[in-house]
Amino acid sequence: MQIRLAKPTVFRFADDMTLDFFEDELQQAFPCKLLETENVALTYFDTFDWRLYRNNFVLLHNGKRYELRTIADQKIVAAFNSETIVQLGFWREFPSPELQQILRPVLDIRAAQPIFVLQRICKKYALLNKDEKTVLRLQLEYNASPVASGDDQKLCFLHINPVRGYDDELAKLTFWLEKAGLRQIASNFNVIASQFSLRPPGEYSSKFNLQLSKENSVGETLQIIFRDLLSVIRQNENGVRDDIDTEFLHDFRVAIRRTRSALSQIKGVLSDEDAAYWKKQFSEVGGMTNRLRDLDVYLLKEEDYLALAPESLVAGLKPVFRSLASDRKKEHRKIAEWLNSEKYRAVMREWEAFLDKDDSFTQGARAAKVVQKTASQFIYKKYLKILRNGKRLDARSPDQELHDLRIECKKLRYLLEFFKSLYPEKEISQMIQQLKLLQENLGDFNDLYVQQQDLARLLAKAPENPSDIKVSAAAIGGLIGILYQRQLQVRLNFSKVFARFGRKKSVSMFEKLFAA
Amino acid sequence: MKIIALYSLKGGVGKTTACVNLAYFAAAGGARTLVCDLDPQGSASYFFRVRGEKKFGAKKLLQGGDDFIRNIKGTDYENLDLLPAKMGYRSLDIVLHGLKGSQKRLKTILNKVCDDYEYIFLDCPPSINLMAENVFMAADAILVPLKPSSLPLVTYDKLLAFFDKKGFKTSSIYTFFSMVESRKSLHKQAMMEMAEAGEKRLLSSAIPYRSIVEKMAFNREPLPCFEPGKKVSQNYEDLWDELKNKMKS
Repeated sequence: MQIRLAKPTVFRFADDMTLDFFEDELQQAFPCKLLETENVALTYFDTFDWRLYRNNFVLLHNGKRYELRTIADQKIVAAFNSETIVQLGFWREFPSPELQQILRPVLDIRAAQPIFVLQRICKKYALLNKDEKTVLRLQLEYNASPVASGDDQKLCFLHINPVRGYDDELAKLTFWLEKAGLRQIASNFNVIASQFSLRPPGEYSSKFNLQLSKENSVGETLQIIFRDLLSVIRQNENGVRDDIDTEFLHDFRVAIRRTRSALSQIKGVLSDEDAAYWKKQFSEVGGMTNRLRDLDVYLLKEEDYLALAPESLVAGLKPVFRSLASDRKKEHRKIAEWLNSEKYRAVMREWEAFLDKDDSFTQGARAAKVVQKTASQFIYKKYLKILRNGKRLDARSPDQELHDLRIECKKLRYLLEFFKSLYPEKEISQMIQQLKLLQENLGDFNDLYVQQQDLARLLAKAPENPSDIKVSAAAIGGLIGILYQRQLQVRLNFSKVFARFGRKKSVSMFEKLFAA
Repeated sequence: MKIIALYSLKGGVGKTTACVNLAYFAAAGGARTLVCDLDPQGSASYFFRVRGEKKFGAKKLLQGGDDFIRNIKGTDYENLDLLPAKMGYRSLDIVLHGLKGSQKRLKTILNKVCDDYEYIFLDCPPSINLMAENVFMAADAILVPLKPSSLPLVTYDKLLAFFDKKGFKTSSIYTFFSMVESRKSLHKQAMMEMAEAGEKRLLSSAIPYRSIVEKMAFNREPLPCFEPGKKVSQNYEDLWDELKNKMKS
């Protein structure tokens, strides 16, 4: 249809305006009728990294039912009645197939949790014309914290739902609202979330995204990078301990790995003793969680493995996964205790104190240099090494060499991400993209290799019931065969992918950006 | 999109009240619904308290431009829109005669909004002319209210004969008893006769004569809005459910 219809809009009250005052003014200016008043307690949900918010969704529970709405126009996308509130929700745990279907790609492996609660009074009005016909629907919204507190936490909004064919009335009201000091906003969710949520919406992301300054020295920059990584480690500790979902541990470990990578790659900033000491500390901290992560990965792949195995062997795999799940429970308990332990806390306290001391970052020979030039040197050197090593490889090279190249690529990736903000955004993104394609090939190769190793190790861990052993062994053997075939296929693609990475055009782009 | 025409050759048989109440139930069930008030008397528009734009009439409607779409108004009820009537519609037939493809004009126009609505109700004026032929061409269901006295039955037979003569499909015609006074033996007898004749197009839900139905004109809202608990509201809902299912099969 060609006609553009007016869309719902939302206005925010001026800070000093009360709901009562506004209602009086409105009733004097326009004939209107109060339709209903609702008083509800709302619980808002999201994942730790705001996946719903980033996908423009709001998930809330109003005491009677769940509603999934779009942030922009507050339209209900899906709803289902349920008086109980899910405290911890993977997409599977929301008891409505319709909702599950929408949540699945958005939440993926993360759990949605309550992020804040508020008390809302909602007054619905109809604006009438001389025939007492509804020409606009209004909703006055008063939000307050359910916990009484000294700071006057109240937020008022007015939602307008236009009625088709009454645009003049809409224009008249909008003009009046603006004169009364109300401001049209894109969405009330951002305002509400910024006020009631402990963490600003969208703030946390597992991606490394730090705005660096070109004027800083290498030492100052490294200090900033470490502080950012430490904050990621800290933010994920609770989630790991409470076992909310497996991504907390993953992000925790990535931040530690990045810290280790920065310690060993950005050389000449710390004193040699400090660098060696912290490398050792973080190697230990990272190593502690290896086993738990391995178990997470097995269990996350359970569905894939079961889908891959011929149907006759599925029964043989199930006891293996049951046994892994019970191992994981034990291992998690161990890690939760470790995170609470004085040993872990002391290391982190010491690291924090080390980061707060400015002269920690002035010891090395490079520490005082301007950051960009040094960053370029590190990046370019690593890049040349990858080009050199990669060119030597082909479909017959030993697995270990492909594995080594993968590690080097990862190091380069971290360097590029650390210093991304110092370079033109478009070019650096292109380079990261090219590297990513190469990493995907090498990563697939490695994953398939690791999975075969893992499965072979599972063979050793036979189920307790001896009659299951044979079936499980056959199942695992079958899977290893399938994975090996896939690995061969990935390896055949390597030369093609690497040729693309090392072609003239991209080499000269790297040169231009980092060798100057 | 399904088009349902409320049609009767005879006036005063409860056509508009049925149109308003059925459309209300269709919309309340969650379906996007449009009522086109084609009767220059504008009773349906009056019930919904909607006035049309000044510069709109038969010509603008039948030209089929965006004017028609621009004149659609939201009612007080969710999912329910209305194209209000204009006195100018009394010349619909004259305008139609001067247009190409004059029999299919209405269908072409309504097709423009076929993505926006699940149901379109046409409240038609009581006449049998080129405009009525347009309605018969366009509608998936032609719903004819019958007052169970002898004269309406005669006009109903005339309508069937007209369909046959013009080659319209009589399979899209449905009928129901309206304004039934069960105390009147004449009514009882007429209903019995029709049932015995095995009229396939007759829906089993009937609407009784009730003074509260007349109150709709005073309250200016659909019956279920101000008398939700009354039996007659339920009768309209049953009628809608029955028709809806018939159209599906």
